Amino acid sequence: MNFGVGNPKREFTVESLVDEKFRFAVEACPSAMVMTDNVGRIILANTEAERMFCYGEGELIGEPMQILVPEHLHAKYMENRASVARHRIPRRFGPSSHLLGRRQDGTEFPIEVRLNPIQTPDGLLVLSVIVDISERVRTDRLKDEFVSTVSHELRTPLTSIAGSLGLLIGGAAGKLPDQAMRLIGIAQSNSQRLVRLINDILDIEKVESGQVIFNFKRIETRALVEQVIEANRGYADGFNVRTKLGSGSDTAEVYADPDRLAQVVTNLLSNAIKFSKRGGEVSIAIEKRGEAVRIAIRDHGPGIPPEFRPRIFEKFAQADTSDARQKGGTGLGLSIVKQIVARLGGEVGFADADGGGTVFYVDLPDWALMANRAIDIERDSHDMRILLCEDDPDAAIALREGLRPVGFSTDFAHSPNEAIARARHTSYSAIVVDLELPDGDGVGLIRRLREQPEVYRTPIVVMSADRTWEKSSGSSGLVCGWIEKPVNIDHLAQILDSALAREPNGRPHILHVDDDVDVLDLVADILRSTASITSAASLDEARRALLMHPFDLAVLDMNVGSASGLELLPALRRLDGEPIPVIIFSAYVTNLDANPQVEANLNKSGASLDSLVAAVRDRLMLRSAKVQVNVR
Amino acid sequence: MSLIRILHVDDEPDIREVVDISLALNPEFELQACASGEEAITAAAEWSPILILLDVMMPGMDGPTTLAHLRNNPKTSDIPVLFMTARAQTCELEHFCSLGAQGVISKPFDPMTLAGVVRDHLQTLRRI
Repeated sequence: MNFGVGNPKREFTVESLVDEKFRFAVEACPSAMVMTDNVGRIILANTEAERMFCYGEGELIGEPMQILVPEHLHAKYMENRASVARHRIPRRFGPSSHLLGRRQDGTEFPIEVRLNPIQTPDGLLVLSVIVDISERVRTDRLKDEFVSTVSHELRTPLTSIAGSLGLLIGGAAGKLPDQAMRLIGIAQSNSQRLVRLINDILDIEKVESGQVIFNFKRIETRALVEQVIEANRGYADGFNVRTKLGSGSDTAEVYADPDRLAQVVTNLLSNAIKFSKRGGEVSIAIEKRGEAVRIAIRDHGPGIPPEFRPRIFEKFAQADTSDARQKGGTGLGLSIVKQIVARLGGEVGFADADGGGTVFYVDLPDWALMANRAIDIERDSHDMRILLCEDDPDAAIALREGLRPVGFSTDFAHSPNEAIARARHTSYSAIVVDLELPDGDGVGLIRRLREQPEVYRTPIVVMSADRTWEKSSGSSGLVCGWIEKPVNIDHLAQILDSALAREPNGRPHILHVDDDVDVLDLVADILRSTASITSAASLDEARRALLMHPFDLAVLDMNVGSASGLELLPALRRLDGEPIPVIIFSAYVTNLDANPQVEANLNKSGASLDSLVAAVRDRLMLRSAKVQVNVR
Repeated sequence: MSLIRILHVDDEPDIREVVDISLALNPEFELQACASGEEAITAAAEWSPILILLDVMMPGMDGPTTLAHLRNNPKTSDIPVLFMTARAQTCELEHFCSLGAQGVISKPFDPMTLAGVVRDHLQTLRRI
């Protein structure tokens, strides 16, 4: 059934959505389903949802969705919801999101959630499909514990066995008869095989379960391959096989994890050595092929039997078990290679070599092409498109890859002129500027960007190791967020989300500045149904908030700590320079009628909270009337 | 010439014996073995070894906890520690080093070269 989710042409009314057929479908679903209205109140919950969260029939209706979320995750929930509302596409928050549900008795449990936005004339509804993953989390933990325990329990005796045999063979216990040496040699090579097997099983388990962290870097392929050849020289000598790296002056750089790439080359090289004839040669070549760099390893062995070819990358696949035993393989090497290469964004394959033998090759993305790809061609049409002005290609690519899973696609500009040109021709949702650009300063770039009519409303986020510029006057109106280097991706995504959070006709946002925390709480409670409130207990906090949000209204105390609230007035401007209307709410009576920015002046002792609410509503009504006039 | 004192900590008696014979291949070394973290903390303070080889997974007090105790005692806080553990990923190695260890020796180790590996570490750390 299609509810028109993500289809802007179909519109549904609340009544049609909660009609009988829809209710029946929701009720029949084995997952918990909860629908909220445009202000986040629950308007529909199936029996499974009531059971999962321990509520009685109908008890959830009318409650805020936050009732099902632990308090420490309320902010995160609001962010996720805002992000779904903005992107208007369903989003899944899987186990890696570490979301928790809260039962009526206050206990918490791990959940997976899919939020589906549904556009209606009554506003945006959100259908949440919730799955309790307690059991899965428990099973995963048990499996991890099992793997870790088995690994330790198997390795411990092996360490003693391999150690003792090594000492005997090394002559630590004196010279042994030849036959004893041969037998001990068999025992030692088999204990080493067991060690490799355990390592391979753990490796494949880690790669498959995503536990291996890939640290992508720019790698000079030749240097890495030379290191691997050197590290395996002893192994090759044992088989009396020569290894030869083909000459080539081109620099071939790839974008990969150096440890994992070395593991891939080691596996392929040791296979080639193992299957070569004694006295044979293994040759390695590095070459650029279109958009890829190819590492090819060629042996002069017997070749791969045709019947084995389709299974060659499967686990425990070996052409001939007796042969494999003789070669000391585990049957996991190529399977690991395939998994790692896939994670590196490359391909692995093999072919018959001219003149006999086999060539295995790995194709990896060429660094130069990756870095020069300023326009993100892997962009999903639902992604928010941002421009990143950053001169360091390594850092730029890392940010692009980091931001992709959280719904942003990133184009690059490596110089200020490139940034201006791109920003003028493409409508970006936000622009991220590295303040320390080499050819022309970042501050200058921001000012130039703001002068472009196409760009002056676009949120700009600044990346810098140095925050002094932020404190200098005049900068607050130019940028809407600040992130320190090295950049924490989650934090950047959060800043971008906040910068983009407000929709043109969305919920109004009020800044309240007062040094009395009780007053802040009281006002936040009473105004919550009217608008989003950001409370600031000091002028510094207020200035920070002004960088982050485009406020519609400010409620200002005259005495904030030792400072005067009036100091804030010049800073109370939106990104487009328009002054933010101010309501003074203070214990001190001040004559401010002459200031056009101050729209009301209320005395805390004389005016009740009701009159504050009335004044706020009055100002916001004026604002929405203005917006409507502008729209016409 | 005084001998180079090495303290080895492992709960497995067989591994203690293999390490004992392996390190004895270098006559410069004098080895004392401990079967638990608790024993190691006392022995390190009393015997003042120049290096400690420490198993990671032990019943009772594990390697990282033992290391934390060693670092908190002024008598043992400067003694370099090498963890002996199963093959570790780069990030795990970094984690061990962030705990205050000076390096890691993988298990199973090569018994014929263990003494040389330990000596190399000591030289890098400028302890000999």
